Amino acid sequence: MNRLQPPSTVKVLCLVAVRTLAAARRQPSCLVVGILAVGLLGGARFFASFDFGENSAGFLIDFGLAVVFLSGSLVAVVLPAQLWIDEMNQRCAVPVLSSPVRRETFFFGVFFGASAAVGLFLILMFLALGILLSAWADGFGSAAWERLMGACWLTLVRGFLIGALMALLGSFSRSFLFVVCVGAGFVFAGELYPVAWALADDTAYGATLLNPLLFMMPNLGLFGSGSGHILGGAAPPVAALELSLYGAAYAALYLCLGAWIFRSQAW
Amino acid sequence: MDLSIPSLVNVRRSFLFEALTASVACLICLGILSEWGYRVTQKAGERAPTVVLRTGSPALQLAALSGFNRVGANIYWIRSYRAWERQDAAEALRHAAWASWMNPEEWYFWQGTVQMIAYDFPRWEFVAGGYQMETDAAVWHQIREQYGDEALHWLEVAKRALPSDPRVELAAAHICLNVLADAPRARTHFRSAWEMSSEERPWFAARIYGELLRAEGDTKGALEWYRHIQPQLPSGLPAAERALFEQQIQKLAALSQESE
Amino acid sequence: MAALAGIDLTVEAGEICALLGPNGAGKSTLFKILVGLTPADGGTALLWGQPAGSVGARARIGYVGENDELHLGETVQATLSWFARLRGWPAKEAQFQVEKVVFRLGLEASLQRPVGVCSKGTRRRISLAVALLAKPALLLLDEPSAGLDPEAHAHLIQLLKDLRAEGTSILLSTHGLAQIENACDSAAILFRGRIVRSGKLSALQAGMPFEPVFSGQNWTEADREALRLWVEERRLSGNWHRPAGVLESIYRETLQEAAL
Repeated sequence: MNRLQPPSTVKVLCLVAVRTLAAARRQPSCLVVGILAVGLLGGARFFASFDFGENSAGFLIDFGLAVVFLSGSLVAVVLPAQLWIDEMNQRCAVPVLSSPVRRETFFFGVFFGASAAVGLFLILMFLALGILLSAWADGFGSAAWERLMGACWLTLVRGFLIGALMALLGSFSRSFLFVVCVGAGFVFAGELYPVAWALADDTAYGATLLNPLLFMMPNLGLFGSGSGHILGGAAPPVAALELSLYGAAYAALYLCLGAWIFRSQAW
Repeated sequence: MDLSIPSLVNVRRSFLFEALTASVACLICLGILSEWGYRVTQKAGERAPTVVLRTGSPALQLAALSGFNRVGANIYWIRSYRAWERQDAAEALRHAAWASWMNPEEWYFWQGTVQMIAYDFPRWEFVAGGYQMETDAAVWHQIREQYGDEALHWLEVAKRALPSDPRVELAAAHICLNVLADAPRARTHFRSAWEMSSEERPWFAARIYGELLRAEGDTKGALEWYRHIQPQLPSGLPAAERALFEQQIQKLAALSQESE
Repeated sequence: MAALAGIDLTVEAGEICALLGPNGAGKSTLFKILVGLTPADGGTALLWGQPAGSVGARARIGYVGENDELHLGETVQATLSWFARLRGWPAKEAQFQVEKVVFRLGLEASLQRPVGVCSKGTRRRISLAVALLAKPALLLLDEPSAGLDPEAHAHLIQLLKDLRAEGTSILLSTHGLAQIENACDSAAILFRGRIVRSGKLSALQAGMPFEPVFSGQNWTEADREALRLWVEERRLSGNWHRPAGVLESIYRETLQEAAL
């Protein structure tokens, strides 16, 4: 009987990632959130007419970035959760793991597939935002486009980091609600990082309760951008490279932990 | 093909060892990363006003966090305006404050808040207290001074959000002059406004500084000031009021000669 | 409490072995340990001298679980193509292998349909097709006939016989004893995690009494013996057949003894 050679790790990684991406494409949540987000972006001009500020371009940029932030966060939490629960709770991983595929390879493959789906969503949102700003915002030229793409890169890093966190949660949980709630909670807490620090210093329970949480999570607020930087060209206080490495370090930690937990899962 | 599974022994040692190693490694990594995060966050500075996020509603927090802060600020400004229409000072100030804090880079909200405090609140309190201008002028001055100081305090906060905006100093100068009747203090603010390097320099502030010096009796100082400013005046800019400066220099020069 | 203990089972090449046992005996656990889905708490499980669940061992196994765990939104074609690539078939060869397996299992009509809309029987066949794409040396089938109608079940039995003829070892668990009796070559009975009886089917059946194909209303043992002697004396040719359900009888008898 002919013996098949199992494919290489990289090939398996790519196969699993592509399949996960295809599964993500079938999820309706992405499409629904995307349509709502584009609708909101389109309504930015309407909201701008109620703005008391002087700089309508700044309003459009901030509003647009906020829409992308919210929709991106939603997709970054819900989509990977759905994909992981399909594999874990619906047991779609079983035929794959009974093949000659290492568990860690499968774990990373699903992570990369989910991250690619989230990344694609974010890039499309930023492109839509850029196109609208080019049409509506005064002073939005090629330099601003470049800075917007820089903001897109940081948002992608943030999405990657959240995806790693969702992979960690998905590695052991069989409940969609648990993964989404805990994931969303972490994202919210990560944005409130500076506030949590201040509270930890001020309040009695702060040191006991908040410091351990601050220990475990990254400051997600660092990855945001505002109109001041995009339109005005104000230099960001932290270099994009340092932020990217910071995000990648946390992501690597979450992924290693998740892969280790996934290795010992039983079906 | 042989399937053989000998007797099982319940051994958990390897899993516990792995768990312990993983926990220690995680703690070390998290410790390093949290230190890095602390340094990076210090570099970035605080991104959201802490006071708002501590005391505001969850919707407000979400708006502040997610970048819809401008929309939130607009909504709170409209609420503040409605409270202003009812002459509800506390409510108007509360909502105006949140509007300023949610969009601290927008001068409009700071300006509106400060003007409310400095010009509207004293009048409302005076009328609500049943006072009369003819008989209670001292009370009026006391109330005005109290609110004038509060308005200046707000402008100190605004300066932190808009450190290089001359309009903050100009607003402070007007309050010192019109509300507190403190010309020397107003003069200082006018000079600070002019000295801020900005694209549209408030040349009139330099002129008013000179005027206030002259009004205080320091004719020589005023003349020196005008002569110091005049060469810097941009030509072709109506706002620079070159002709007025020259007029003032001539007048003050004549006054100086007379006094000598 | 150990789920499995002292399992020592031999399945020869080109042999179908039925793994029998009541619910909770450990049949599914054994399968999962063999394919590495469930890590054993302790002890050693070996397949071809390699640890069960290792990549090398899994490369030679095809596994069909109790439930058909497939992506419901994916088409049958996409599912099979993907698994063919996962098993190591080059792209062009993968397509050919998929076509072969589709033809063998009669899945042509369902190729472009999502797995989720296929019937249970079709999904079983898809799962089997996925396992067969690996050209396995050992096929592990956990309750393969669960939910299948008699026609589908007959088709499955014929397929298993064909695979046996090709040299594939098959280990399957089932509760449908009467249905599998004519197909399997050996059997093992699992009870509370231990194999209490195993061997070739012919050896297991050796101790069971022969019954005539037809029997009258009041046949006694003496009547049966008299008939046998009468057939022998006349040197009549023919075959003695056991009625269907002998394996079930063996099964029930063994469990009763073990429970005692």
